[in-house]
Amino acid sequence: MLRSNEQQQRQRPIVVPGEYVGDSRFHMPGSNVYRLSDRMLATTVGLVRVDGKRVDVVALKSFYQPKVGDLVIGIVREPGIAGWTVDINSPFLAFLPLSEYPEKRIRLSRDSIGRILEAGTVLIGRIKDASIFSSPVITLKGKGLGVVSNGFLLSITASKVPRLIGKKGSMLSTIEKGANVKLTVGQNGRLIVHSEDLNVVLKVKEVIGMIEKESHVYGLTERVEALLAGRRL
Amino acid sequence: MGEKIVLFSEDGKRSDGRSLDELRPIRIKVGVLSNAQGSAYIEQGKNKILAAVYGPKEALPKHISLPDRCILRCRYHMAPFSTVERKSPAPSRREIELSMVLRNALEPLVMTSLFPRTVIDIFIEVLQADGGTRCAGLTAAVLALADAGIPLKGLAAACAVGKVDGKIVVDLNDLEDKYGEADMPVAYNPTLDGITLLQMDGIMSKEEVEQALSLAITATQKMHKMQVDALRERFSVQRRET
Repeated sequence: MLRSNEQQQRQRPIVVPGEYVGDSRFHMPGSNVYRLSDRMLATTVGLVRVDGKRVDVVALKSFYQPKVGDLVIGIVREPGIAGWTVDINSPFLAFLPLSEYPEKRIRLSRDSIGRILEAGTVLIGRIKDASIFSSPVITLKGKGLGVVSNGFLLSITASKVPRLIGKKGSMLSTIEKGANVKLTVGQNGRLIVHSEDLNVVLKVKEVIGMIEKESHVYGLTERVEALLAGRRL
Repeated sequence: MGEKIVLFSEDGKRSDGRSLDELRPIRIKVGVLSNAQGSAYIEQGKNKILAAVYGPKEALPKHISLPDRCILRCRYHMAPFSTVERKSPAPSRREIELSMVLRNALEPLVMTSLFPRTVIDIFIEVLQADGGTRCAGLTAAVLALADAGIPLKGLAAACAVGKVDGKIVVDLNDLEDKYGEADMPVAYNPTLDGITLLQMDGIMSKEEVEQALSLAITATQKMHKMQVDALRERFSVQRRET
């Protein structure tokens, strides 16, 4: 087991910014890769992934870049005049306009906007609009979206979210079954553990920590399963 | 007055026993602070420097933000206990200038256009100073940026070269810096084959500058290798104890 891990690591060495990852005459630069004449170079610390002609560097630490349609978990930062600014664990603050709040009738003359959603409220939203020119806009209108009233909030590097979810949600369902808990994972690297039991939350936190550290090492699913089964509650 | 400072021993070695083109012993560690998004620590001879990075985050006050790229804010600061005599903790003229110089040196490395309207804060804290702190600080700051996951065009390392008693030397210490004839800090990015910082204090001929520059580039290439190793070590898997 140890040997196979080591072999896997040797096959996929960690690249650092500015390191050569491929020839641009034969490959296309993907994420975290830029072109410098014929050379393609990494921009972040990560692992090279070649998919056909495309070369990506999967960052080992990254920021969440909002994309339309992403499910995100946000924290209300501040109520404004026509909506709220929401921290979505990204360099950019998102905006939740009043029109995207699911309540049908809001009388601003009677309710102050800060009373509808207070600063610090955790919510599950979807990115409605994202461009480099303006702040991303999120909506609470949709199935499964809205304010979170209970549960625990955990976080993971945004680039590890696909690994946390797994192929067709396989890793997520493994964790949910193993710890007997429901999770909501936002693409922005935040997740909600829908449980009041602190032991369950700590267990999930341990698993998340392991995925974050070892996501690029072969045989992660087996190790996650072992961790969950080994200390079954 | 009168007593002459001896900068070279009889066998041609420098005051700390090094040869002319030898770097001081360097130790680099990345990811030393858990509260900062990225951090790095460097020891170069007696220099001890800590660098930390926060961001990219929303630029406040809003009027400082730029619509097409993120801005870099850099603070170079020497701790009161970093020098032989206590240094006032208030930012001095030199520190304010060096903060600007380092920001300008780091900016070409960062892919600022990916994060418009945001700001990246870089803190360089000199814990112990022994000459060449701006270079060691820059070397650490680049690693802190990479550790934070900020996209960079490449890594850069910096090293000072200078003229001491008519000889061109690499990586000047405090004594050589003070009593030497010239001092030239150079930051070099081997990926882009570009110089991102070049200053000079003192007098050197054109030939001497050329010789010093080539020595600096060789030295920074060595430091670049150390930077890469330190980053790899930081991100290599920590095996769970079973």
